[in-house]
Amino acid sequence: MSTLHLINRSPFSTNVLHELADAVSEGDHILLIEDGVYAAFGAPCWTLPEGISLWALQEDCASRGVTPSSVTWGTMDMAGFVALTASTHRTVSWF
Amino acid sequence: MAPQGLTYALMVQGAPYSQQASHSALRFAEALPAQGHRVAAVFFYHDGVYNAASMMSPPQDEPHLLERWRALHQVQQCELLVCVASAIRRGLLDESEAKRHGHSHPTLEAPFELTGLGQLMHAALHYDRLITFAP
Repeated sequence: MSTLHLINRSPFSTNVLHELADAVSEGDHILLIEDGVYAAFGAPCWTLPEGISLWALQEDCASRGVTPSSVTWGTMDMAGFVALTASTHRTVSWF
Repeated sequence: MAPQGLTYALMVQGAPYSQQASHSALRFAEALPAQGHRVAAVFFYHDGVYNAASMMSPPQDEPHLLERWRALHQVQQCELLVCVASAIRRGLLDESEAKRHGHSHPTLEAPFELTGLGQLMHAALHYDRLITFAP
């Protein structure tokens, strides 16, 4: 069962990204939205298992002047967000 | 291939105009029909219940969140469910609760409705996806 993990808080104000690292498994997706996109400035400083897809929501990046590090993070628009919630079995919000 | 024609329930926990949750949830919900999906219910919880404040009067050059929710209800026929326990203590009362507590005017009106957590459980069990928009 694949899971979409939503992160809406800045990595500078929460530790959930580290907690999340223990909860993800192969085939899962992580999507940064709202202030969560500040985590997309660089590579994650935590260790993730193989086979996790990392995304940042384009419009929240644009409104904050964040250009995601393209080596690590893909970007998607709201339509992509919707498609991801449909193609995964469940969505979990971390906050 | 993503499945088609899914029904969604959204949970909104962020307060309007101080957190982005309402905006994110609305943009998400408004993007569903283009892919053949629809939002069947929105559950407002914790400070998210302020989205239902019937006297909400934002400046004209700002998004009117109450009107956006009403429009969503009209377009996608979704239920707008407000947690009664979160709402009453924050001063959001429908007509019968206002009467019961001795107030002259309701502060919450249709299409928003006061409901319990049972409705959230019902939404989680009966609809295909539940997406939480956190504070």
